Amino acid sequence: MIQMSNDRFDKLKNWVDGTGPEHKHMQRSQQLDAVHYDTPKPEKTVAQQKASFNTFFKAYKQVAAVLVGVIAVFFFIAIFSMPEFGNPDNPTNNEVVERYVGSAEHETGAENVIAGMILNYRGFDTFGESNVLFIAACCVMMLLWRDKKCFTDEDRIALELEKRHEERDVILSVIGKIAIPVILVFGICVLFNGHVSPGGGFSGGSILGASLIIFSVTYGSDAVRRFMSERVYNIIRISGLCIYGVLFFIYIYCGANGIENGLAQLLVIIIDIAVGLVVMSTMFGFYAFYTKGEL
Amino acid sequence: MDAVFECILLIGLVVTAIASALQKKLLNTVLIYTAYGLIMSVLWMLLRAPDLAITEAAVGAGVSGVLFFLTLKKIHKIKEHDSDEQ
Repeated sequence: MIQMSNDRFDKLKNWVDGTGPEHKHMQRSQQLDAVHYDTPKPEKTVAQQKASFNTFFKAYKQVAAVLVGVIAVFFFIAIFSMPEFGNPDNPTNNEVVERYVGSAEHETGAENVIAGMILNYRGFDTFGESNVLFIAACCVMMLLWRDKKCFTDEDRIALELEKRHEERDVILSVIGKIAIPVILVFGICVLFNGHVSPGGGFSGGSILGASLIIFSVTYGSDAVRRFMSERVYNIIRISGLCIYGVLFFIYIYCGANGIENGLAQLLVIIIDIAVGLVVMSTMFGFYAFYTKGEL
Repeated sequence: MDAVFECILLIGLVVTAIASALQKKLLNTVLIYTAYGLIMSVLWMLLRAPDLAITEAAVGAGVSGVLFFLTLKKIHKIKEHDSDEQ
């Protein structure tokens, strides 16, 4: 019994090491391969390598130019076959546009037809866009977040040095002090008046995000952290998306068209603000995580 | 008058688009790209799309430029005037 198991063990060992009788032909072929590959290739001189690189880059440029030309020809064909801009007989001017322009104010309560269109008729579309922004911010957080629990001492020293070297530009801080309130008020105005004037969630949110970025540059990240910690930031992001989702799906569940004009207007305003919150937090989050890896 | 202004803007759009692709320095590319975004936002205004114009001015000319600058700083393509040498 023991003898047999020893035999088996030897077999297994030989099989693992590749030294058994069934591996002989393989060893031979390997040796042959080795002989085949070991034959020294004629080495290229530096000049030859340079010449081959030069030909490659020349060919690269020529091929790129040809490809760009071909694509440009296709684009120009497409442009010249397009109908005239603003012509009332265009195929885009059909019953859908008539319906939107004609009854958007009555049905959605938004004087700005575009706001009524993107937040009410095409609400699912805008919900998807907000989700894309939310997930983009999540991915940036995942990639660039510096977790302080995982810091080594060297990281801490480097961070300290970075903070000490951080100096504010005089011109930037003076102009920032004047410009930030104006930009903030303009952003809020655009955001809250999205249903009556051009603007709305996306533009107002990006203006607010830009003003937060300027604030962070002029006053430093500590000043931002005073009112927007990581917790507050996450609450703003998630609550924006949740308000949108819940309200819009209640609206769809109610039949999407049977509610009163005033309620519909309120719905458009609230959804606009929710989109603005998501866009603002995404813009500011990109900036914060790009620069410091934290809020 | 409007048509002349529009033509100037369109020519500027093409020039900035080609120039930003042909720059050797990445910093110049980003600067010209933000100029492209600004021209584009004025053009949206002329095409009677004020919603898009506001968004383009905030995103194309503002925030995306900032993000590009930050990326260039991260990959050390912008030289800072470092105090270590002095």
